[in-house]
Amino acid sequence: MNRSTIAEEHEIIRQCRDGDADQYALLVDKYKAMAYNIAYRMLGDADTAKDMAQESFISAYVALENFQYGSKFSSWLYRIVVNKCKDYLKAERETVPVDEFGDVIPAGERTPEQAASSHQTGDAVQKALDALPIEYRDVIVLKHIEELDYREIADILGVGVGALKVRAHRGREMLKELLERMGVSV
Amino acid sequence: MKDDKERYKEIIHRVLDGDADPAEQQAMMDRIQTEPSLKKEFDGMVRALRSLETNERLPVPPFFTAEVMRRLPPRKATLGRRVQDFLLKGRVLKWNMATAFAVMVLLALIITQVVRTRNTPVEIAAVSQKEQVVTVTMNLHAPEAHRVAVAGTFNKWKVDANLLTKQENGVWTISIPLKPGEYSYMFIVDGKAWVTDPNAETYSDDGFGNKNAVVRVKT
Repeated sequence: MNRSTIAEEHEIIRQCRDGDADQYALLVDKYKAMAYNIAYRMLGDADTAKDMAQESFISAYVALENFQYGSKFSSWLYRIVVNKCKDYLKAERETVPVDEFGDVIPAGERTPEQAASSHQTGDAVQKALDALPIEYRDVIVLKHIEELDYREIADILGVGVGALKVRAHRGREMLKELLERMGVSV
Repeated sequence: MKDDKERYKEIIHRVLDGDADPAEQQAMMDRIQTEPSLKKEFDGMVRALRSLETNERLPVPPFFTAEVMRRLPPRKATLGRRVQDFLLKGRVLKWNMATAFAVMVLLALIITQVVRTRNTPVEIAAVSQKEQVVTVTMNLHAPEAHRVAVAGTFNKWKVDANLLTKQENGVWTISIPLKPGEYSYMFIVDGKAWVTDPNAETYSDDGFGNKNAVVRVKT
């Protein structure tokens, strides 16, 4: 993103802060695809992803007063999206019923088989992602699906680049194992 | 031997992160040729990542932006904005005969002054041209509908900004003054069904499998 684009976005934010809410549609249009897809990859459900992405835009709008003009709106927005998804998964984890063996299975960390049976999308990769622990899923989604660089991911997740690489390393290995166990691709 | 494998596994991840230098990359490529378990590890990782990277993005659901905009809470405008709105926003004025007469007298005085200055007609023409708008009429035959609105790029996709009026023949109609340009729009029937204008001048694909009607306003 070049400086003029950032300057244009900051001008839009300034106008929104001044009460011209209509300008916000420009930012929603620009970032909705990425926000929605990040939410979908984090959550594995299209309807919930839409709700979370829309809630994120609304939360960002409400909190525009806190936006720092030195930063990128996109990073700020994606941080809100990721945090909302994590909050949702944590809340869901508390209400997920026990499995057939009587063990509580956190929604954010299902077995591949459970993840596979919980969706009708036929998206095998998504099923593997659903089975990844959340702290690996976020970095895998941002790095290898959205193809952001580590510096931006560090900004979004509030984690240092070194720690992120360790998480990505572990996440990739788990993903490979999951896909192998599910008989997909590898 | 195990340590050696672990070291090359680390290098595999450095390669995947784009952090490995050419010498490391070459060393890894040489090593995996002689160590089948490392080659399996590397190939499996590459295929897993390829399956992620080639995974198609989901199209954004229709009307995503319009729904967000409709749900935004009101924000208190700053003083500067309120002054600007007071000066620039359209409003309905209530007239009585005395006010109308006073305004006519004032206009007559202004016009007299303008004619004297000789330069003003050009300015009037320029202003007139700059502010030129064309009234566009949109119609939708929907005799069963209870409420029809139009949302589009001319009103930032607001679903309540422009309501159509129902005629006796079941046709809903609205006339909107628009500046020259190209505008996408859709009708919203009874607050929920988004309907493409069957009589539109042309259409545009919104990228998500739906068609927006398009009107081109020319001078």
